[in-house]
Amino acid sequence: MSPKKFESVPLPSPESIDAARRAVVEFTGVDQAGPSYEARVFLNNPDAGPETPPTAEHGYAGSFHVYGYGLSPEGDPAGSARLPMRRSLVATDAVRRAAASGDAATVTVVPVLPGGGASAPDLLTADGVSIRAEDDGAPTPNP
Amino acid sequence: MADGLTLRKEVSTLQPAELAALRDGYQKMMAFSGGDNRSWIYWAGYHGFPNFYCWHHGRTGFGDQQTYDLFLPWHRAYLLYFEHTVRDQDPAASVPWWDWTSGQSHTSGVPAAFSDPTAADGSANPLLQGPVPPIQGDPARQTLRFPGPPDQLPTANQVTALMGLGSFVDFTSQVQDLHDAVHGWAGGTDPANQQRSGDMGNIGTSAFDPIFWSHHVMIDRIWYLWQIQNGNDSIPQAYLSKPLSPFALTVADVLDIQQLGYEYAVSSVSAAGNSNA
Repeated sequence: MSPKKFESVPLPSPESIDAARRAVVEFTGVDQAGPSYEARVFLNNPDAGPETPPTAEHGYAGSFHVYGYGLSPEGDPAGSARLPMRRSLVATDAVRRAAASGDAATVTVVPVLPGGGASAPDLLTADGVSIRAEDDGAPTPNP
Repeated sequence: MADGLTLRKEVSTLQPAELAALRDGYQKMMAFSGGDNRSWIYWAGYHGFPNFYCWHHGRTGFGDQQTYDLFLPWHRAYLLYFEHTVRDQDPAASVPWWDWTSGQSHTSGVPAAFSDPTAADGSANPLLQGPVPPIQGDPARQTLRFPGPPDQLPTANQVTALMGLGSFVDFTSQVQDLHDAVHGWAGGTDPANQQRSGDMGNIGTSAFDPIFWSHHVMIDRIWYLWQIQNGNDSIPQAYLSKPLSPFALTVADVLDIQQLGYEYAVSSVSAAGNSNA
Protein backbone atom coordinates (compact mmCIF):
# COMPACT_ATOMS: atom_id res chain seq x y z
CA MET A 1 0.00 0.00 0.00
CA SER A 2 1.25 3.51 -0.77
CA PRO A 3 1.28 6.56 1.44
CA LYS A 4 -1.74 8.78 0.91
CA LYS A 5 -1.51 11.26 -1.94
CA PHE A 6 -3.58 14.29 -2.78
CA GLU A 7 -2.91 15.50 -6.30
CA SER A 8 -3.26 18.95 -7.83
CA VAL A 9 -3.85 20.75 -4.55
CA PRO A 10 -4.10 24.48 -5.39
CA LEU A 11 -1.33 26.60 -4.01
CA PRO A 12 -1.60 30.23 -2.92
CA SER A 13 0.20 32.65 -5.18
CA PRO A 14 3.82 33.54 -4.42
CA GLU A 15 2.69 37.13 -3.83
CA SER A 16 0.14 36.12 -1.21
CA ILE A 17 2.66 33.90 0.51
CA ASP A 18 5.21 36.70 0.59
CA ALA A 19 2.64 39.01 2.10
CA ALA A 20 1.35 36.45 4.57
CA ARG A 21 2.60 35.72 8.01
CA ARG A 22 2.67 32.03 7.17
CA ALA A 23 1.37 29.25 4.94
CA VAL A 24 -0.61 26.33 6.30
CA VAL A 25 -1.39 22.87 4.96
CA GLU A 26 -4.69 21.75 6.43
CA PHE A 27 -6.21 18.28 6.40
CA THR A 28 -9.87 17.64 7.08
CA GLY A 29 -11.64 14.53 8.25
CA VAL A 30 -8.58 13.02 9.92
CA ASP A 31 -9.81 10.02 11.82
CA GLN A 32 -8.43 9.46 15.30
CA ALA A 33 -9.98 6.10 16.13
CA GLY A 34 -6.95 3.89 15.86
CA PRO A 35 -3.38 3.97 17.15
CA SER A 36 -1.16 7.01 17.31
CA TYR A 37 1.19 7.90 14.49
CA GLU A 38 3.27 10.67 12.96
CA ALA A 39 2.07 11.97 9.60
CA ARG A 40 5.01 13.24 7.54
CA VAL A 41 3.96 15.65 4.82
CA PHE A 42 5.85 16.10 1.56
CA LEU A 43 5.10 18.51 -1.29
CA ASN A 44 5.70 17.49 -4.88
CA ASN A 45 7.34 14.21 -3.95
CA PRO A 46 4.81 11.56 -4.96
CA ASP A 47 7.29 8.79 -4.23
CA ALA A 48 7.95 9.80 -0.63
CA GLY A 49 7.89 6.95 1.84
CA PRO A 50 9.04 6.09 5.34
CA GLU A 51 12.68 6.03 4.27
CA THR A 52 12.54 9.44 2.57
CA PRO A 53 14.73 11.89 4.48
CA PRO A 54 12.66 14.65 6.09
CA THR A 55 14.56 17.43 4.38
CA ALA A 56 13.66 20.37 2.20
CA GLU A 57 15.36 18.90 -0.82
CA HIS A 58 12.95 15.96 -0.66
CA GLY A 59 9.93 18.24 -0.34
CA TYR A 60 9.46 17.67 3.37
CA ALA A 61 7.00 20.23 4.72
CA GLY A 62 6.77 19.04 8.30
CA SER A 63 4.67 16.60 10.25
CA PHE A 64 1.69 16.43 12.54
CA HIS A 65 0.92 13.79 15.11
CA VAL A 66 -2.26 11.85 15.67
CA TYR A 67 -2.95 10.73 19.22
CA GLY A 68 -5.37 7.95 18.56
CA TYR A 69 -8.16 6.53 20.66
CA GLY A 70 -6.80 3.02 20.25
CA LEU A 71 -10.29 1.65 19.75
CA SER A 72 -11.03 -1.81 18.47
CA PRO A 73 -13.33 -2.05 15.45
CA GLU A 74 -15.99 -3.75 17.58
CA GLY A 75 -16.63 -0.90 19.94
CA ASP A 76 -16.51 2.85 20.07
CA PRO A 77 -17.29 3.88 23.63
CA ALA A 78 -15.89 7.31 22.92
CA GLY A 79 -18.90 8.00 20.73
CA SER A 80 -19.34 11.63 19.79
CA ALA A 81 -16.19 12.58 21.64
CA ARG A 82 -14.22 11.06 18.81
CA LEU A 83 -14.92 13.11 15.73
CA PRO A 84 -12.76 13.30 12.63
CA MET A 85 -10.38 16.17 13.11
CA ARG A 86 -9.05 19.07 11.17
CA ARG A 87 -5.28 19.16 11.47
CA SER A 88 -2.98 21.93 10.29
CA LEU A 89 0.71 22.16 9.60
CA VAL A 90 2.59 25.44 9.37
CA ALA A 91 4.79 24.94 6.32
CA THR A 92 5.62 28.41 5.02
CA ASP A 93 9.01 27.68 3.49
CA ALA A 94 7.90 24.44 1.83
CA VAL A 95 4.78 26.02 0.38
CA ARG A 96 6.77 28.99 -0.86
CA ARG A 97 9.19 26.65 -2.63
CA ALA A 98 6.35 24.69 -4.21
CA ALA A 99 4.53 27.86 -5.32
CA ALA A 100 7.68 29.06 -7.06
CA SER A 101 7.35 26.21 -9.54
CA GLY A 102 3.61 25.91 -10.07
CA ASP A 103 0.08 26.71 -8.98
CA ALA A 104 -0.69 23.27 -7.60
CA ALA A 105 1.17 20.60 -5.69
CA THR A 106 0.98 16.93 -4.92
CA VAL A 107 0.71 16.44 -1.19
CA THR A 108 2.03 13.09 0.02
CA VAL A 109 1.42 11.99 3.58
CA VAL A 110 3.50 9.17 5.04
CA PRO A 111 2.07 7.79 8.31
CA VAL A 112 4.76 6.36 10.54
CA LEU A 113 4.28 4.42 13.75
CA PRO A 114 5.89 6.01 16.81
CA GLY A 115 9.26 4.89 18.02
CA GLY A 116 10.15 2.36 15.42
CA GLY A 117 9.66 4.39 12.28
CA ALA A 118 7.75 1.58 10.63
CA SER A 119 5.39 2.70 7.91
CA ALA A 120 1.71 2.46 8.66
CA PRO A 121 0.12 3.30 5.32
CA ASP A 122 -3.40 2.23 6.27
CA LEU A 123 -3.68 4.49 9.28
CA LEU A 124 -4.33 7.88 7.75
CA THR A 125 -7.90 8.65 6.83
CA ALA A 126 -8.54 12.19 5.67
CA ASP A 127 -11.24 13.76 3.52
CA GLY A 128 -9.10 16.35 1.87
CA VAL A 129 -6.36 18.90 2.06
CA SER A 130 -6.04 22.59 1.36
CA ILE A 131 -3.10 24.97 1.38
CA ARG A 132 -3.57 28.59 2.26
CA ALA A 133 -1.63 31.69 3.14
CA GLU A 134 -2.61 33.41 6.36
CA ASP A 135 -2.12 37.12 6.29
CA ASP A 136 -3.97 38.38 9.32
CA GLY A 137 -2.39 36.39 12.11
CA ALA A 138 -5.72 34.86 13.02
CA PRO A 139 -5.83 31.24 11.91
CA THR A 140 -9.02 29.32 11.38
CA PRO A 141 -9.79 27.64 14.69
CA ASN A 142 -8.77 24.04 14.54
CA PRO A 143 -11.27 21.57 15.90
CA MET B 1 4.38 24.25 49.83
CA ALA B 2 5.03 27.93 49.18
CA ASP B 3 2.60 30.48 50.66
CA GLY B 4 0.05 27.67 51.19
CA LEU B 5 0.19 26.74 47.52
CA THR B 6 1.11 23.31 46.26
CA LEU B 7 4.46 23.61 44.53
CA ARG B 8 4.94 21.53 41.40
CA LYS B 9 8.55 20.76 40.49
CA GLU B 10 10.33 19.03 37.66
CA VAL B 11 10.57 15.32 38.37
CA SER B 12 14.37 15.12 38.20
CA THR B 13 14.63 17.87 40.85
CA LEU B 14 12.50 16.08 43.45
CA GLN B 15 14.23 15.41 46.74
CA PRO B 16 14.16 11.76 47.88
CA ALA B 17 11.41 12.47 50.39
CA GLU B 18 9.32 14.23 47.71
CA LEU B 19 9.67 11.33 45.30
CA ALA B 20 8.85 8.91 48.09
CA ALA B 21 5.68 10.88 48.87
CA LEU B 22 4.61 10.78 45.23
CA ARG B 23 5.21 7.04 45.07
CA ASP B 24 3.35 6.58 48.33
CA GLY B 25 0.33 8.50 47.05
CA TYR B 26 0.22 6.65 43.74
CA GLN B 27 0.71 3.26 45.38
CA LYS B 28 -2.15 3.83 47.78
CA MET B 29 -4.43 4.87 44.94
CA MET B 30 -3.45 1.79 42.95
CA ALA B 31 -4.40 -0.45 45.87
CA PHE B 32 -8.03 0.68 45.92
CA SER B 33 -10.57 -1.17 43.79
CA GLY B 34 -11.72 0.45 40.55
CA GLY B 35 -15.11 1.48 41.87
CA ASP B 36 -13.57 3.40 44.77
CA ASN B 37 -13.41 7.12 43.98
CA ARG B 38 -10.00 7.27 45.61
CA SER B 39 -8.56 4.76 43.19
CA TRP B 40 -6.11 4.99 40.32
CA ILE B 41 -8.46 3.17 37.99
CA TYR B 42 -11.35 5.49 38.88
CA TRP B 43 -9.42 8.66 38.05
CA ALA B 44 -7.61 7.32 35.00
CA GLY B 45 -10.99 6.15 33.75
CA TYR B 46 -12.17 9.75 33.45
CA HIS B 47 -9.75 10.41 30.61
CA GLY B 48 -10.33 7.41 28.38
CA PHE B 49 -12.00 4.11 28.98
CA PRO B 50 -14.78 3.88 30.15
CA ASN B 51 -15.87 7.52 30.43
CA PHE B 52 -13.93 9.39 27.70
CA TYR B 53 -14.53 12.79 29.29
CA CYS B 54 -11.24 14.12 27.88
CA TRP B 55 -10.98 16.93 25.33
CA HIS B 56 -8.57 16.54 22.44
CA HIS B 57 -8.72 18.69 19.35
CA GLY B 58 -12.33 19.19 18.31
CA ARG B 59 -15.30 17.56 19.86
CA THR B 60 -18.82 18.66 20.50
CA GLY B 61 -19.67 19.82 23.94
CA PHE B 62 -22.86 19.31 25.80
CA GLY B 63 -25.74 20.58 23.75
CA ASP B 64 -23.53 22.34 21.22
CA GLN B 65 -23.51 21.50 17.54
CA GLN B 66 -20.19 23.08 16.68
CA THR B 67 -16.90 21.65 17.80
CA TYR B 68 -14.47 23.56 19.95
CA ASP B 69 -11.27 22.70 21.75
CA LEU B 70 -11.02 22.81 25.52
CA PHE B 71 -7.89 20.64 25.64
CA LEU B 72 -5.91 22.96 27.93
CA PRO B 73 -8.55 23.97 30.49
CA TRP B 74 -10.07 20.51 30.69
CA HIS B 75 -6.73 18.88 31.46
CA ARG B 76 -5.88 21.60 33.97
CA ALA B 77 -9.09 20.77 35.84
CA TYR B 78 -8.40 17.05 35.54
CA LEU B 79 -4.88 17.42 36.95
CA LEU B 80 -6.24 19.52 39.81
CA TYR B 81 -8.75 16.90 40.92
CA PHE B 82 -6.22 14.12 40.45
CA GLU B 83 -3.56 15.91 42.50
CA HIS B 84 -6.06 16.54 45.28
CA THR B 85 -6.79 12.81 45.31
CA VAL B 86 -3.08 11.96 45.47
CA ARG B 87 -2.55 14.44 48.30
CA ASP B 88 -5.49 12.93 50.19
CA GLN B 89 -3.35 9.79 50.35
CA ASP B 90 -0.06 11.58 51.04
CA PRO B 91 -0.25 15.30 51.88
CA ALA B 92 3.42 15.74 51.05
CA ALA B 93 2.96 14.70 47.43
CA SER B 94 2.58 16.98 44.42
CA VAL B 95 2.54 15.90 40.80
CA PRO B 96 5.79 16.92 39.09
CA TRP B 97 6.27 17.85 35.48
CA TRP B 98 8.44 15.80 33.15
CA ASP B 99 10.55 18.13 31.05
CA TRP B 100 10.84 16.18 27.83
CA THR B 101 12.89 18.99 26.29
CA SER B 102 15.74 18.71 28.78
CA GLY B 103 19.20 17.50 27.91
CA GLN B 104 18.67 14.62 30.29
CA SER B 105 15.47 13.55 28.56
CA HIS B 106 17.09 13.85 25.15
CA THR B 107 19.92 11.61 26.34
CA SER B 108 18.14 9.08 28.54
CA GLY B 109 14.50 9.28 27.52
CA VAL B 110 12.01 8.40 30.24
CA PRO B 111 13.19 9.77 33.60
CA ALA B 112 14.58 7.27 36.09
CA ALA B 113 11.73 8.03 38.48
CA PHE B 114 9.40 6.37 35.97
CA SER B 115 11.70 3.69 34.60
CA ASP B 116 13.53 2.30 37.64
CA PRO B 117 12.01 -1.08 38.48
CA THR B 118 12.34 -0.47 42.21
CA ALA B 119 12.05 2.43 44.59
CA ALA B 120 14.85 3.49 46.93
CA ASP B 121 13.69 1.00 49.56
CA GLY B 122 13.75 -1.90 47.10
CA SER B 123 10.01 -2.16 46.74
CA ALA B 124 8.31 -2.19 43.34
CA ASN B 125 8.20 1.29 41.77
CA PRO B 126 4.58 2.39 41.37
CA LEU B 127 5.66 5.01 38.82
CA LEU B 128 6.88 2.32 36.42
CA GLN B 129 3.41 1.09 35.44
CA GLY B 130 -0.19 1.31 36.52
CA PRO B 131 -3.19 -1.04 36.70
CA VAL B 132 -5.53 -1.24 33.72
CA PRO B 133 -9.01 -2.74 34.22
CA PRO B 134 -10.60 -5.26 31.84
CA ILE B 135 -11.39 -3.45 28.58
CA GLN B 136 -13.39 -4.72 25.63
CA GLY B 137 -12.76 -8.36 26.42
CA ASP B 138 -9.11 -7.96 27.38
CA PRO B 139 -8.21 -8.96 30.95
CA ALA B 140 -6.90 -6.64 33.63
CA ARG B 141 -3.18 -5.95 33.29
CA GLN B 142 -0.41 -3.43 33.91
CA THR B 143 0.39 -0.63 31.48
CA LEU B 144 2.94 -1.11 28.75
CA ARG B 145 5.47 1.36 27.46
CA PHE B 146 7.84 1.17 24.45
CA PRO B 147 9.51 4.59 24.36
CA GLY B 148 11.16 5.82 21.21
CA PRO B 149 14.66 7.20 20.69
CA PRO B 150 15.33 10.04 23.16
CA ASP B 151 16.43 12.45 20.46
CA GLN B 152 12.96 12.31 18.89
CA LEU B 153 11.38 14.11 21.82
CA PRO B 154 10.29 17.73 21.24
CA THR B 155 12.95 20.34 21.77
CA ALA B 156 13.18 23.46 23.91
CA ASN B 157 13.24 25.52 20.71
CA GLN B 158 9.88 24.06 19.68
CA VAL B 159 8.39 25.06 23.02
CA THR B 160 9.97 28.51 22.86
CA ALA B 161 8.41 29.04 19.42
CA LEU B 162 4.97 28.49 20.92
CA MET B 163 5.41 31.41 23.28
CA GLY B 164 5.23 33.84 20.37
CA LEU B 165 1.80 32.68 19.26
CA GLY B 166 -0.65 35.38 20.23
CA SER B 167 -3.86 33.45 19.66
CA PHE B 168 -5.09 31.01 22.30
CA VAL B 169 -6.74 28.87 19.64
CA ASP B 170 -3.55 28.76 17.58
CA PHE B 171 -1.43 28.04 20.68
CA THR B 172 -3.82 25.27 21.73
CA SER B 173 -3.53 23.60 18.35
CA GLN B 174 0.25 23.75 18.17
CA VAL B 175 1.01 22.79 21.75
CA GLN B 176 -1.39 19.92 21.33
CA ASP B 177 0.72 18.59 18.46
CA LEU B 178 3.77 18.47 20.73
CA HIS B 179 1.55 16.81 23.33
CA ASP B 180 0.39 14.24 20.80
CA ALA B 181 3.95 13.56 19.69
CA VAL B 182 5.08 12.77 23.25
CA HIS B 183 2.12 10.47 23.82
CA GLY B 184 3.07 8.55 20.70
CA TRP B 185 6.74 8.58 21.66
CA ALA B 186 6.19 7.36 25.20
CA GLY B 187 3.75 4.64 24.22
CA GLY B 188 5.74 3.59 21.20
CA THR B 189 5.32 0.35 19.31
CA ASP B 190 6.16 -3.12 20.60
CA PRO B 191 9.25 -4.15 18.59
CA ALA B 192 8.08 -7.77 18.80
CA ASN B 193 4.55 -6.99 17.62
CA GLN B 194 3.89 -3.90 15.54
CA GLN B 195 0.17 -4.36 16.04
CA ARG B 196 0.61 -3.47 19.71
CA SER B 197 1.38 0.00 20.98
CA GLY B 198 2.12 1.20 24.48
CA ASP B 199 -0.69 2.66 26.54
CA MET B 200 0.55 6.26 26.46
CA GLY B 201 -0.10 6.14 22.72
CA ASN B 202 -3.84 5.52 23.12
CA ILE B 203 -6.36 8.01 24.45
CA GLY B 204 -8.37 5.13 25.84
CA THR B 205 -5.65 3.83 28.19
CA SER B 206 -2.95 6.49 28.50
CA ALA B 207 -4.01 7.86 31.87
CA PHE B 208 -3.42 4.49 33.51
CA ASP B 209 0.33 4.99 32.90
CA PRO B 210 1.88 7.02 35.77
CA ILE B 211 3.97 9.09 33.38
CA PHE B 212 0.75 10.48 31.85
CA TRP B 213 0.25 12.86 34.74
CA SER B 214 3.73 14.33 34.63
CA HIS B 215 3.51 14.73 30.87
CA HIS B 216 0.32 16.73 31.32
CA VAL B 217 1.78 18.81 34.12
CA MET B 218 4.50 19.78 31.62
CA ILE B 219 1.79 20.81 29.14
CA ASP B 220 -0.05 22.74 31.84
CA ARG B 221 3.14 24.50 32.83
CA ILE B 222 3.80 25.47 29.20
CA TRP B 223 0.30 26.98 29.10
CA TYR B 224 1.00 28.82 32.35
CA LEU B 225 4.21 30.29 30.89
CA TRP B 226 2.30 31.24 27.73
CA GLN B 227 -0.34 32.96 29.85
CA ILE B 228 2.34 35.05 31.59
CA GLN B 229 3.56 36.28 28.22
CA ASN B 230 0.28 36.55 26.31
CA GLY B 231 -2.50 36.88 28.84
CA ASN B 232 -6.02 35.48 28.48
CA ASP B 233 -7.67 38.03 26.19
CA SER B 234 -7.43 35.85 23.09
CA ILE B 235 -9.51 33.07 24.61
CA PRO B 236 -12.80 33.15 22.66
CA GLN B 237 -15.48 34.68 24.85
CA ALA B 238 -17.78 31.77 24.11
CA TYR B 239 -15.29 29.40 25.73
CA LEU B 240 -15.22 31.05 29.15
CA SER B 241 -18.55 29.74 30.39
CA LYS B 242 -18.11 26.26 28.96
CA PRO B 243 -18.30 23.57 31.63
CA LEU B 244 -15.33 21.27 32.09
CA SER B 245 -17.46 18.25 32.77
CA PRO B 246 -17.46 16.20 34.90
CA PHE B 247 -15.63 18.71 37.09
CA ALA B 248 -17.57 21.50 38.76
CA LEU B 249 -15.52 24.12 36.93
CA THR B 250 -15.77 26.27 33.85
CA VAL B 251 -12.98 27.50 31.60
CA ALA B 252 -13.02 30.85 33.39
CA ASP B 253 -12.52 29.07 36.70
CA VAL B 254 -9.17 27.56 35.72
CA LEU B 255 -7.31 30.51 34.23
CA ASP B 256 -5.38 31.43 37.38
CA ILE B 257 -3.37 28.57 38.82
CA GLN B 258 -2.73 30.34 42.10
CA GLN B 259 -6.47 30.65 42.63
CA LEU B 260 -6.60 26.90 42.07
CA GLY B 261 -4.05 26.42 44.83
CA TYR B 262 -0.81 25.59 43.08
CA GLU B 263 2.18 27.12 41.38
CA TYR B 264 5.22 26.03 39.45
CA ALA B 265 8.79 25.99 40.72
CA VAL B 266 11.04 28.49 39.00
CA SER B 267 13.19 26.87 36.35
CA SER B 268 16.93 27.32 36.66
CA VAL B 269 17.32 27.70 32.88
CA SER B 270 15.77 30.44 30.77
CA ALA B 271 14.48 28.29 27.92
CA ALA B 272 10.83 27.47 28.34
CA GLY B 273 10.36 23.99 29.68
CA ASN B 274 14.05 23.30 30.25
CA SER B 275 14.81 22.84 33.91
CA ASN B 276 18.38 21.57 33.69
CA ALA B 277 21.09 23.86 35.02
